[in-house]
Amino acid sequence: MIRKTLFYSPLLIIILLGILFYYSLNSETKSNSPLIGKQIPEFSIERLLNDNDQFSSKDLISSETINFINVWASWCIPCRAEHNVLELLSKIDNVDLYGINHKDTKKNATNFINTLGNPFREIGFDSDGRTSIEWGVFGVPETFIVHRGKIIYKHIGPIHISELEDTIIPIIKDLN
Amino acid sequence: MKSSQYIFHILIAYSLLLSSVYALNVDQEERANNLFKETRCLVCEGQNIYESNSDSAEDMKKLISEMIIDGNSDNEIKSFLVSRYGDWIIMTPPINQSTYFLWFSPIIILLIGIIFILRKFKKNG
Amino acid sequence: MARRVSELLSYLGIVSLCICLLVSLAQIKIFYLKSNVNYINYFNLSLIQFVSCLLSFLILIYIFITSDFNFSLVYQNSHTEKPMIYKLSGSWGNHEGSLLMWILILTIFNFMFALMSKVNIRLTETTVGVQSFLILGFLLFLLFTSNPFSLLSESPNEGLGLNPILQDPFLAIHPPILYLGYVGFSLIFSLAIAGLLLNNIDKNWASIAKKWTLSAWVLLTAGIGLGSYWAYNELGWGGYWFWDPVENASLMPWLAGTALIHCVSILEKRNTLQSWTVLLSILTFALSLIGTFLVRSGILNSVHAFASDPSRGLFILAFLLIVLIASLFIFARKGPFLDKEIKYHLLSRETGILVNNWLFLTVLFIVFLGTVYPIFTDIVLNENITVGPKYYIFSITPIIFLFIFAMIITPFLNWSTNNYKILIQKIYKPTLLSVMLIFSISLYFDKLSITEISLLILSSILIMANLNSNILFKNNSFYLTSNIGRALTHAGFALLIISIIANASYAKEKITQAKVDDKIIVGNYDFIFSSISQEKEKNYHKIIANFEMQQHSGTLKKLSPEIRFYNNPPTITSETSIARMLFRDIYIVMNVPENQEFINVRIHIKPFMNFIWVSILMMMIGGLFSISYRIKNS
Repeated sequence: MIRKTLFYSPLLIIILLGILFYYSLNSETKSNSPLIGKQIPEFSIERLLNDNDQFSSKDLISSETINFINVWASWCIPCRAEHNVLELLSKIDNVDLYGINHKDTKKNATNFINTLGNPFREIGFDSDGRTSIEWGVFGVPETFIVHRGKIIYKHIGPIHISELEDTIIPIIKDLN
Repeated sequence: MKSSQYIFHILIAYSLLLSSVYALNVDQEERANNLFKETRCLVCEGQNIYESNSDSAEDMKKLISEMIIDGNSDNEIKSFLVSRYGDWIIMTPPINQSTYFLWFSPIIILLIGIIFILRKFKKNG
Repeated sequence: MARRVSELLSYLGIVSLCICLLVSLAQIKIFYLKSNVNYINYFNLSLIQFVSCLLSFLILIYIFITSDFNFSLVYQNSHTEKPMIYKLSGSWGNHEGSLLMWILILTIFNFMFALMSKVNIRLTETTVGVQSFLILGFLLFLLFTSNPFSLLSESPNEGLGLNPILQDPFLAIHPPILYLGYVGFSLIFSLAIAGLLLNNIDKNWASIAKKWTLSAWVLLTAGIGLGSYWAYNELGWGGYWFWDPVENASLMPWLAGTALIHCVSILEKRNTLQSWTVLLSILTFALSLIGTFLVRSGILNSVHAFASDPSRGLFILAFLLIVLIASLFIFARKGPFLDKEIKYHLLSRETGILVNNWLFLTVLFIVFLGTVYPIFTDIVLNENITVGPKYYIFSITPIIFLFIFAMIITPFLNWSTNNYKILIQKIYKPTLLSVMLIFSISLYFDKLSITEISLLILSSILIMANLNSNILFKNNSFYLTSNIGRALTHAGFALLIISIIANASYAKEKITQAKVDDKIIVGNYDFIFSSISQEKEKNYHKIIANFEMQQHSGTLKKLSPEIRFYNNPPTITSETSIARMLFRDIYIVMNVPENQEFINVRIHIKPFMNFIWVSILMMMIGGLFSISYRIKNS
């Protein structure tokens, strides 16, 4: 009897594998960054648009509003597509949008902002990409939601308008 | 005309790929190379940064080299990377609750085989 | 006018595929008709299947050679400036074309089998039926998700080109050979299912199966070897095996297939292990299918990534599950009644093979687990991990020990008796010699660890025991015995292990920057960067750096790595320059940064590379010897 049952085990294994493969086909790339729920990483970089002082983690920790940190670059085409959504996002109450300009030249980055508009409250200029590594950034664009110095959520890739409505705005409501 | 222009553009892009000179001594260089081989490239398909020439891999190599020069141990560098990118970034999985099966089940498989084969003798006396 | 021709060709290609589809439907009549035996019938049908597929494949090749950009597939994967060989290989260097090639090879094997197996007609007919079911599934996949003959509404003047990294002569022939191997195992699968359905798994079944298994095994070995050779030459990292998911996907059926060859031998000689043999036959093909799924669905990240598409993934998964669930269900029902128990002796050859079989399976399990585990943690535990080379090396090394040990002993044991006198007689000399040899070598080279030394000793014993004159020669004259194939393959495997260890332990590498006239020192060699130049070729232009490799101030070789700038599609590739010497390869790759006076160079000294290729060749030649021996004696 046991022997006969044993002959069904390959069948069982293949069915389990099939289920696993089926789910993996339909799974989307999730952003399970280890930074979520943690204090934001310490950083301090130049500002893109004025040379006076540095844009640093202190600016975010001391803030009472909900902070969005968007990592972008002028050479990144999806960032252009995302820009409209960022404009909308920046107009929401109690939300401040910050930018980290990733591996860019000042000239190109400034041009980008001058042409498309500036939804950012501050932009840090991260020419060597070091700050992006501190934030665990894979590529541009990526967006973090930070509240009281803690990272709440991370979005990889451009934010689509539907994602703004379905995912981002509920998080904002929650935090308020 | 057009293609030569294109080549010019990619050459510029390619210039970003150069690895800068790291002032590492021989021991440090060996450590760096070993760490490069253990660090997964962020943007490539399944390569480590040692094998990759991508911009992002070069940045990471630079960061690791600088951390070595600053006196960080290999473990400190690895745990920094893990704290930012998760276990994913290290080419060899850690041994913890979620990887016990990965690391230890081959032994179980081997044992099952031994039991099976031994039973063949028993049955036949 | 040209447009009309294209439309006609497209039509013809699809129609011949449809003919093949209909004939395949007729072939699987064994599932719904109790047929009376009729040899002509299924033989002719399998011929039609083959010819119609061949026709459609020839059309595919024709449209690629003539660069007919009315076809979407040609437009996306070819370019007029491409050399002819890559226009040709471009036809199977993409998803649709390679799938058509898969089907063609399925029909080739189907036809060959129908042609050559005339002894047991009922078994042959059923096998052809199962094989036709596979052909049918793949045809549906091709026609519904990946039609290679779809036309563009407007004809573009120029194509988008083929990824330059794929423009390599070895990669041009690598897929066909690899598919021949994969698909060869599909035939064993069909044969096993047919045997199960007819309750006909015995010595005769084994002697039919062994030939085909060996053939598929030789082809798969060649395919994996070529893939590795390509990666070594083209990817520019100095490595030849990366434990990459795609490579693992080809290694897994190889491991199962090798275990199968040995297991079939036991069945043939001792008429036992029926259900295990059938299970291994199913498993080998299952792993080919799972490999195809993993590679083409894009759920794994890989350097060799194929253009992927989730809907294709879903189709392959569905097909894979239908085939495997059905066959494993039949196995579960019929398997328990197949086995004939025999008396096992501890020191008999069948025990040795059985032990090795299980070691193969354990290695296979490790490779499979390493490949699939990241998917598991991602989906089930919501954690991302990477399983890299260290995991495989760490887990597999201890098994290799047991493995070689069993390989040394088993051939000197007798079938079905406890006789170990010959064993001691045959291996005590090789053992003494090897221990002395490796110890003296390891005194000279100090870098070896104890693990490496013991593996080297075992491998060396294995080689010597296999080349022992008693196996190869009888009555002082060289003649073809069934042993020579095994001796070559096993010695080849031992040589492979030795080469891998030597390669890993004594490799040297240097990554640095160089200006013209600089001298770079790596190991015992000096490399003088003598000049840099530019040249224009047909479909790319290149920058060449010229190096002189010197030892004791005498120039040994000239090396010239290149950077190539392809226009279509615009891509930059680094071409390695490799000086192949008997005991080591010197390997140079470079990068050229803009506006700099230096180049980035990577120099590798890789010992024993030639021996790695030679050992793979030995294993293949050994396999060929075994096949020819079987054909001669059947």
